Amino acid sequence: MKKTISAALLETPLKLSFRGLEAVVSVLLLSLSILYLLEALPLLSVTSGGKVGPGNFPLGIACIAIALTSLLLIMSLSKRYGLHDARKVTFDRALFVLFGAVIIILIGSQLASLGAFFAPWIMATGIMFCCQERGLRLLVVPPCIGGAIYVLFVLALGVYFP
Amino acid sequence: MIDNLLIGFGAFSDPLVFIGLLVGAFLGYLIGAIPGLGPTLGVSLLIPFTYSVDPLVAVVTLVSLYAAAEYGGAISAILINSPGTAAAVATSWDGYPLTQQGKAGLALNVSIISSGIGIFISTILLFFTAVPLSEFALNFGPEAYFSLAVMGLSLVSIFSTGSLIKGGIAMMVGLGLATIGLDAQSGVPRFAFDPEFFEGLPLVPALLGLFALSEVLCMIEQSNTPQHESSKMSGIFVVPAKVYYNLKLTLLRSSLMGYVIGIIPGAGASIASFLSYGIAKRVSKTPEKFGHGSLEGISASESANNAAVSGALAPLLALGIPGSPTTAIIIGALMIHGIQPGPLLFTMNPEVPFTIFASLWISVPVMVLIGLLGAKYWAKVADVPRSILASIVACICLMGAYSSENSMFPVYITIAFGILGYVFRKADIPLAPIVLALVLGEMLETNFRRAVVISGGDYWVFFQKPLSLILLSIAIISFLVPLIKWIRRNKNI
Repeated sequence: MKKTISAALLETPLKLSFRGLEAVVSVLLLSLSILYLLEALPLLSVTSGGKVGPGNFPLGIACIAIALTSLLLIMSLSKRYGLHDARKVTFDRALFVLFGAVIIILIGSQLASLGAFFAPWIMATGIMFCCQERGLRLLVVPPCIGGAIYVLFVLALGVYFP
Repeated sequence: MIDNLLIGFGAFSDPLVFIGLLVGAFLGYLIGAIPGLGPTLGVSLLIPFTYSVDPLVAVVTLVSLYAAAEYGGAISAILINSPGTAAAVATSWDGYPLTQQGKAGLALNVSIISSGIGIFISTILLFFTAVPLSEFALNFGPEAYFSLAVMGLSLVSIFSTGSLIKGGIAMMVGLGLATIGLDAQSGVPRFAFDPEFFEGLPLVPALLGLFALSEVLCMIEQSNTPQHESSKMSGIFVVPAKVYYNLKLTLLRSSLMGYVIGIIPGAGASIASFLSYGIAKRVSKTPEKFGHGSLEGISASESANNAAVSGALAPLLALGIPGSPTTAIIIGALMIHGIQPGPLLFTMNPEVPFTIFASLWISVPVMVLIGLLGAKYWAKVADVPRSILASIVACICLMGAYSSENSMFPVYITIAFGILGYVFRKADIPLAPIVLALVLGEMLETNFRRAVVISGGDYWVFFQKPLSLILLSIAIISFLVPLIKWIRRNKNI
């Protein structure tokens, strides 16, 4: 019973309002666009012989990006378009997706030190576990993937690992 | 032109080129047959393996994978009603009912042969249009190139999503990322917070992250949905010639349509397939059969989506403008090998485009044979557990990124773009405009600056030259039409 409850908890889908997610993403992108604009402004003082310097094009991009992300934010928060929209975004198996992302980040960042055999082995084990794989296959397949990756990249393609 | 074509066919005297075609075709079928994976992911995963091979071998392998993935997408659509690619959705509408009627072999035969005919006819069109187009493009000034790139980006942003704003945001993200690195004209570093960024954002790791690693996270998410069991098939080799005689007009019309739609940036194989299916139904003598196992429906969809592959290659080869995410990735691969697609390609490296033409023709019998002989095995591919697929894709992504520069920097880029890609997919922000803008960004900016400098600082130069004006007008109309539709739709809310 205990196992069922914990499994059910892990499998619970995370449901977010579509417009809410849109608002969050647009705020993030708006912030990035403003940062981009702030970085682009000093470039305007640099001239490259012509009228258009290295800062003009990024400035244009920043302005359009700020306008579009602001528009998306307004629309997702407006009563007329956003708040009455009942659509939901479902993140199925959200915890496992998060675990998967953490495994990819952790093993990926240690790729050079773990090498072409152990890094794929460990990562494959983690990802297969996140994909609900249990039992013998979880023990047998990842080392095979590690071996295949090692043969392909190191022996056949000559990729160098320190 | 014929001499160059002979050079293209002559490239196949090198066994490695032919092996490349076989490998590409085999992997393409494999990728295409697996629901959820597609040509874009397949081509991005294959790029790391092409770093060390001859450019011609690399190009032939990537192009044959691209074409074969469209063939393969139909197999799972017909047998398990789960299209391997978006372009095979229309195929499933008639293919799966035929499987339920015990005619899976017939449906597969028609789909594979129609795909082959689509590629064959469209490559003839590609051959006769790409060369004149590239010669015409030699007269393009910087203002025309700028306008062409704007038009390409605008069409992609609109076709790839229902939302104009999100398409535009994706385009701006791509353009913003393309400005990272040392400015080519002034040498000033822009947005390069680390010296690793001085050469710009590495394209292949970014693509691997956006399309492949984000797919891994989606696979983890969907791993509790049941996978289909493949159906049995029979009679794949016993299809009377009369069937194809009756389909001749459908095949010709759909191949032509597929090619033309494939040329339009962003339209691609899925739109070609849906439109061709719709027109085939409208002009058919038996429209009531559509959706219940019509061979016309299968041949219309399949010949069009494969013809769109050749169509998408036309702007890539002749103008250096990618028409789809897959061709944007192929451009990236060409650049890695020091080949710059565009009008000069036909004079500087004629062996590349003509070998592509030759490879598309040679691929027809090869892919038809691989498809027909291996149909029951390709069908089994769709049964491979998602857990194993996700692990393999993730490992190839990170190792492929590492091998691009033998350093950890591209790996970090891949991981960052993988997470970004997953979040964007969830927020319904299209990925295609990001890639296209990333590829076209430099060309867009360079030509913009060059045109303004040549005109003595006159920004109206883009509206004064007729060609540039036409291209920009198309871009503006393509933004305005959906905007007007949206305003009309929301008027009565």
